[in-house]
This record gives sequence, structure tokens and C-alpha cells, in this order.
Amino acid sequence: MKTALKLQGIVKRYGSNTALNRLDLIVPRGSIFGLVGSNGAGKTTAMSVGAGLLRHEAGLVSLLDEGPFNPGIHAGRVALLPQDARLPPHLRVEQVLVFYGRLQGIGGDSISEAVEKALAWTNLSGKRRAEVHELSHGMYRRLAIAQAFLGHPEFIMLDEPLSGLDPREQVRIREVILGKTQNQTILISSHQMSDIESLCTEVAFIEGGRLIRQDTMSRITSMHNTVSYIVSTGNAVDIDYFRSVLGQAEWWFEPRACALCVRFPDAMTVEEVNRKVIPAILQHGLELREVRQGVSLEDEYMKIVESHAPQKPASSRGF
Amino acid sequence: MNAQTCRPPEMESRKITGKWARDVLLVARNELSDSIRSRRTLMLVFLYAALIVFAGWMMIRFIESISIRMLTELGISSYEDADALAPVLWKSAEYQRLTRGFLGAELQESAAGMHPFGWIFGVMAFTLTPILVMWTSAARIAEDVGSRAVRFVAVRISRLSWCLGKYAGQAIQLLLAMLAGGTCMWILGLLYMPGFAPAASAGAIFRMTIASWIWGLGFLGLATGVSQLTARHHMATAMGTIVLIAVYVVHVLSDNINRHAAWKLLDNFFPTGYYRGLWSWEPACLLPAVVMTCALSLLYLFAGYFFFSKRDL
Repeated sequence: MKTALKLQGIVKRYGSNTALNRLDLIVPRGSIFGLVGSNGAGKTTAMSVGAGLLRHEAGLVSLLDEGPFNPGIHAGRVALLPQDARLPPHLRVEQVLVFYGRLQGIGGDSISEAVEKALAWTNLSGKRRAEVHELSHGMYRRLAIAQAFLGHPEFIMLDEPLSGLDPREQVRIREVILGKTQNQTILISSHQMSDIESLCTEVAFIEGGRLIRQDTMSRITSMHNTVSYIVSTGNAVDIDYFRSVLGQAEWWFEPRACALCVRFPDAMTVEEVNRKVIPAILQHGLELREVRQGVSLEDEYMKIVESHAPQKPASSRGF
Repeated sequence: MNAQTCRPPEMESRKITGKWARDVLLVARNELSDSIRSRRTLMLVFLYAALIVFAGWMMIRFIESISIRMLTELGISSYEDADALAPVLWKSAEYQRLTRGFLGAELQESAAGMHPFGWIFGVMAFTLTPILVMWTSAARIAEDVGSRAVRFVAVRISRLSWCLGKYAGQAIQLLLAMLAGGTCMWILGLLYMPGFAPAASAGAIFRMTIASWIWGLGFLGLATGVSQLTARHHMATAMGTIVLIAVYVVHVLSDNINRHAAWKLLDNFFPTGYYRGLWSWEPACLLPAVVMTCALSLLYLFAGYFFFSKRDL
């Protein structure tokens, strides 16, 4: 399998703090890959190690299957949207894009076309003459995103790309990400599960600098054999009642999402399940708000994180 | 086998060299464009030019004062007959005292045939350039590392190309600042100095501009070297200033207070060791000074890069 990024047993320490603890990660070529984890889990550090910005103490890195980052090999093929990096404050918006575009390898007349396109899709055409420090936070983020897509890099790493954008801009950026070409790979790190769920084809959960789970989105959310029925909050759900409706299936209730979930055998189809379960829900007096194929990424993430959480030591003192 | 691997190795290396040079130029142009918009740089360059103009103004006043006395002594009717006055003026005891006071006995000879605006510009430029360099350039790399702006660039080009580009951009900025200072001084002379010789003064100022720029490059190497050691721009400026003071302490010890060979040897590792050579008109003195100052500049830059190439960005 061709990979855009392969991390094997990566260890990265900041003083006594271990940010990455033998992290393994494989980002397949052509995927939109989501990196999910809590604050300090190691998402940004993993990206930075992959991009050659941070040195690691142990482990192997392979970028686009050609070893660790080497400007002679990877320059112009990789782009990065860093999380907290500041663009040069005194340059004009257009100058920033021309500069990074040229460094990316766009030559001659193509640069004007590429910059125009980037300004148009980030809705910054009217601000082309503005200096970077004059931009609002949202405009600044859009400019930072635009520079990552210049020159059609093969591998784009986006650290929290949608944070700080208004809903309309989020939709626009999502469209750009989904409109990537087939040979492009996009790695997205985000706290927003809904973003990851709607954009990514593969996902990895990282906690404490280690990989907890990596799989395709459809497998993680059990798209093929699970249906979630979202009911109104406050509804009391009798699981035994539903077990009698569809005996061969596994039933459970997710209180966080108010979701009645059913995992059914491979022999059944979603349509068959819906035909039996939806009337039963209504008959049972529950108010059905939404039917969703699979379980939510957020629920799956919480389940996995909780199962990997270190056990609290038993209290030595009783009351 | 793809087309890329079929390319002859010499073509491949030419392509890499071409890209490397292009990257350095792109960064240098961007650095210049970003740096000259910074308020701090503009203010320091303005101060630099103002101090040079002030020195030029004082020189005009001094020459005026001794000229008036000489006009009477020589029986020359007016300032406009300066061609007759100039040779006498340059040889006068007062003028000789002034040049000796500013340049010292050794450099006085180098400045003997030079237009007074040339050497006074040289004195000011050689004095102010190290400070200008440390206060404008020492923070430039540290600033980009601290703000993480370097992350946008580090995935696109090599760290070495970036550092060399920053250095080149600052070197061009320094040259522009010095040319601006020299031009201001020349215009001042043209407007206010009686019997001003435009061509001779322009030649002398330009000669000293280039000499002091090369001198400045030595300090620019120190500044960019220091700038690669930290991610805090205030710290980089402070470190640069401390290094500058240390360099001058060594120079003073080697030159004036204690003529011990060890201090002399140590002074040769800093641009201050080549100060006299850069003033000289003798190629045998000037060329080694130019080569050594430029070599030291790159040595400091690469010493800083040795640390920078391994650091986290």
C-alpha cells in the first residue's frame, strides 16, 4: 500500500514530558485522514514530526514513501497549515501567496493564476492589498489555509483547519477539501468530530502520544451493520422491548446522543431493519427525531477513550 | 524507470543548484520586502541617516570656521575660489588635528587624499553600522522561529536556503541603508558646503559606503548567527548587543590597553581585527581585510546554522 505518511514507534520528548510514546500511524495515499485526540494527545507533534519540523528521539518516519522529510525530495510536494504559526505581518495578502506559491515551485505566469484562484475560493480577493496584520481572525485563517493548497501538493497537513471560521466559510473550506484530486492526501487534525466525520475516509484516535485505534471511517462508525435512532431527550427506552422486535440483533442505548442503537447480522439489510424498528419505536411512544446509519464518531471515540483511560487507584481510606 | 531517473546526474545537480539559488533569492527578496516595512527598522535607519547628516553638518561648520581664518591669511576674496583654498585647508594644522583625532595616526594617512566628507562618512558609518546591524538583524530569524512563521517555509525549502536568504535580504537592506546615509550626506554638502566638489566627494563617500558595508557584513554574520540560537527576538537582540560589546572589549584590549599577542590573535577572529585594512587604499592590505571579513561573516552564520539545523521549529 502506498502511504503519504508512515510513523513507526515514534518517541518525542519535551524535557521530561513524553509527547509521543512509540506512536504508529499510517496515512494511506489518496485518503482524507482524520487525526482525533484530546488536548495534548500529540496530534500537532505527530504532524510536525512528519513534516520534519521536530526532531524525534526514536522511531522511523517515511513521508510519501521516501524516508523522512528531505527538502531535496519533498519540497513542493508537501504543504502544512500549522496551528498557531504567524504569517509575516507586514506582507500584503497577495505577496504572501506569491511568495509561498513560488517556494512551492509554481513558476512563470502560472503563479498569478494560482493566486487568483486561491484568493477567489477563500473569498479574499477584496483584501489582496491588505497587510497581514490588518486582517480579521477569520480572514487570517482563510489565508493560512489558502497557502496550503497552492501548487497542488501531494500531501497536505491541516492542523485545526476550521477553527475560527464562520459557518459559511467552514462550508466553503469543506468543499475545497472534498474537491481534492485523486492523488492528493489530506491529513486533518481537529477537535470537531462532526468535521472529521463529514470529511474523512480514514481516522485515527491518539491519546497520551499513542495510537489507540486506526481504521476506515465506515468501519469505525459501523456504517454497514449499525443503525442509530435518535429520540427526544427525556424518553425512557425499554431495551428489552426492542430485543423482542429484532431478536438476533445487539441493542444498546447511548444516553449522550439519546440514540437507540442496533447492530444487526450481516444477512439483514438496513431497509429490513428500518421496516421493523421504526414502527416499533413509534408504537412504543418514543418521539423519533433522526435515523442515522452507523454510530456517531464522537460516541465511538468516547467509548474507546474511556476504555483506554488509566484505572483510578482504589481509595485506601474508607468512610 | 521514470523520466526523472533517466536524467543525467550533471543535469540533476544543475537543477538542484538552480532551485537552491532560486530559493535563496526568493527568501532574500521577501525578507527585504518584509523587513523594510517594519517600523523598528525604518526608525533605526532614519536615526542612522540623521546621525550621519549631523556629522556632515558639523564638518561643514568646522571647515567654514577654519576657512574664514585662512581666507584672511591668504588674501583670497571669497569661498567660491575654493580650488585655491582646498590644498591649503587639507594641510592646515587644525584640519590635520581633526583627522588625527577621529582616525588616529595610522588611518590618517589613508584618509589624506580623501574628500573630508568621505572620511567623516567613513568614521560615522564604521561606528554606527555594527549597532544598526545588531538592532535590526539579530532578531530576524529568532522572530520567525518564535512566531513559528518559519513553519510555512520549512516544508517548502531547506533550512540552509532559508537562513542564507534571510542573510542576503538583510545584507541588501544594510547596503540600501548605507547608500541612503551617504546620499543624504552628499546632498547636504551640495546644498550647504561652499566650494563642494561633487564628483570627488561622491567617489569618496561611495568608496567608504562599500568599505563600511563589508565591515557591516562581518557583524551581520554575527547577528544572524546569534539569531539562530534562540526563538525569542528580544533575547536575540540582547545577545547580539552583548556579543558586540564583547567584540569591542577585545578590540580595545588588543589595540590600546594591553598589546598582548593573545588579545591581538583573538581580535583577528572578529571584524574589528580588519578595521584598518578596510580603510586602506593599498590592495595588499584592503583585499585580505575584505576576504577575511566576508569569510568571518559566513563562519558566524554557519556556526549558528550548525545549531539551527538540528533544532525543533
